[in-house]
Amino acid sequence: MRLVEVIGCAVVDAGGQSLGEVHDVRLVADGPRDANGRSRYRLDALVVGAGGMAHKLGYSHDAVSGPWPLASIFRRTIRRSLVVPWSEVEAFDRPTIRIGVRKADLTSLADADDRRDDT
Amino acid sequence: MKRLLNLTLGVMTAIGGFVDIGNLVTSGITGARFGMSLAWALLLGTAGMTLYGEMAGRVTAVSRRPIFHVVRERLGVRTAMVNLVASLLLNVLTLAAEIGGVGLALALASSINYILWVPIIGFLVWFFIWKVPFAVIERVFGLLGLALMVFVVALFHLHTHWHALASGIVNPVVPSGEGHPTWWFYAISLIGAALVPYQVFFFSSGGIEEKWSVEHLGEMRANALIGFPLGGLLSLAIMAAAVPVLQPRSIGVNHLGEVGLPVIAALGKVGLIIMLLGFFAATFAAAVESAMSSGYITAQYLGWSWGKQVRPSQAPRFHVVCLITVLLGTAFMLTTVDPVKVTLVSVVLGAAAIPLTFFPILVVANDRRLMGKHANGRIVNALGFAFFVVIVAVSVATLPLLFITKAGQ
Amino acid sequence: MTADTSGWGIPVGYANEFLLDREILDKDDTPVGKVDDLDFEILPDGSPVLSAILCGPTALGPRLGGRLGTWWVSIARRLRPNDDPTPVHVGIDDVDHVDRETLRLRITGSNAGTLRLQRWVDAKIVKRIPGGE
Repeated sequence: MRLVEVIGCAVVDAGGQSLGEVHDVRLVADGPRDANGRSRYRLDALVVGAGGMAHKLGYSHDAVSGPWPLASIFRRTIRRSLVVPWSEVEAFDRPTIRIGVRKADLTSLADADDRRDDT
Repeated sequence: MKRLLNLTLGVMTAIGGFVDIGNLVTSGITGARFGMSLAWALLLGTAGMTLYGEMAGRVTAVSRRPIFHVVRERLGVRTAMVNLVASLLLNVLTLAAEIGGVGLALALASSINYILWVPIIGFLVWFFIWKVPFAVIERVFGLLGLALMVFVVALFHLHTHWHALASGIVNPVVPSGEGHPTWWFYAISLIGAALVPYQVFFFSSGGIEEKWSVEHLGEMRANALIGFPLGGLLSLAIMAAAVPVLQPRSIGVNHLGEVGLPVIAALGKVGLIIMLLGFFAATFAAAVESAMSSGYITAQYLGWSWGKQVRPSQAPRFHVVCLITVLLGTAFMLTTVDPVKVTLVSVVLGAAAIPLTFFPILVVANDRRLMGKHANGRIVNALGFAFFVVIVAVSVATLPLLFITKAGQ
Repeated sequence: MTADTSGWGIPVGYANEFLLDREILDKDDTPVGKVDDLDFEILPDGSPVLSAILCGPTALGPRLGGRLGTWWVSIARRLRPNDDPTPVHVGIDDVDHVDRETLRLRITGSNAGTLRLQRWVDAKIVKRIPGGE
């Protein structure tokens, strides 16, 4: 499965509501070990909805906090990005992905705890 | 002591390197037509280039990568492609204008028609990219470009009304007989002459060619914060010199030679020779830089190897892109299109396109994971954002003004 | 912060933020391309794991999307009609190191297969010009 096949897909929740398009994926290195002994990256979640541009620019992370007017506008769009765990995906018929939970049960990208600045 | 020498050399190179055909033509035209009433636009463009040049240089030195990588990483493949294509087209136009400028300088020196010089110059530009070491191009031509200081000398030998000059800068008034849209069009052309996209990409890629790192921040800052403003002042002198000589007689600038009339009037033949040397150096270096800039950004978008730090056979695609750019620019000039018109259109379109280049620079300069303690401070951010709003406004106004005034008629 | 036992240095991240569109350098620090796309293998339990980095115009084309993307791929195919139309695959085992700016390989570019266009241009154009070695 190529990433380009996932990004851009429309996501529909358990209640039939459209959540927007996939603009990124979250990768967690906790898969099976590779030939060099490292854990392979597992596709952990989809990032769906508005805020794709802001996120790619870097505004979803605390590390990019300026200039103030741009940060303010872009952070607002990040709020509307939702993190959908891959485990909740029930059906994948390109270009639509159906998931098993409702929008209200999903967390916003802005609240994901890997977005904090720990430098 | 050696560091100071190196620093001074770098600054002087930056001054000479800042001025190209765009600055020469726009300063000359506006001085002749509008007196000093557009000096504010020149100063504004210079201030912006200084600010964003330092930002781009800082990002380059700290991340040790050229800024075009950042364009694709932060804007995505599609938007970065728009930036790439627009910049490539602009570079061809700019290169054509610079080749025209070199040709006109040589025509003035030799009385051989500039068109006959064009193919020779095209070949020389390619040859310099192919074989001549980077440092030689930068240093030699940057320093020779300082010959344009002859305009400053000329200012002191002409009947310059210093008081009127100063008041023209501080109290801009559209001269009677000139329309407002035309005045604003030329304001944009002055801003664009200072903010050429190729210059930012070249400054950054050139920094990587010279292996900048955090240790070079001081040197880079001297180049941007001293060199660029002084280059702007040099352009201002060219504008000011036109005022006592060209404006009273309503001599328009339709030809590069006319930009030089003040120097001839003040300093005679000696002044002319020095001035032509300066014209040649500034425009030839800019031609080489704009062609190389195309190679740099294409390679940096697609992930090819690039640069003069490696042998041509290790960066063949980079050299081919530079070659194609030179061929296209040369071919365009050979269609006998008017070099001054090409210059005007290229700087104005450059002004329209610059927000797409400055935007990712402004964002990345704020990324603390990348920049650490070298991320933008509050003042730089405030200035950077304010200036960004200005260039977006300029960008929106450009095409309508271009059509309304028929490219400054 | 829990200790990172993954071996990667970046245990959690978003593809757009540390992997996609980054420069790929081989073990000699030579640029060999950009991360144009990612390839995932679906494990028996249904979870997708990263198996390869994809590189080249046939990987970039689909990401450009639309008419531009299709055109991009067809131009690339026309330039190299005898080559395999699938993009260059760099297996994850050949990746040495990932940070937010670059991806470094354990192998050389020629082994990764990404330098075919470079070698063609070198042989057909650059080496024919005097001084092109």
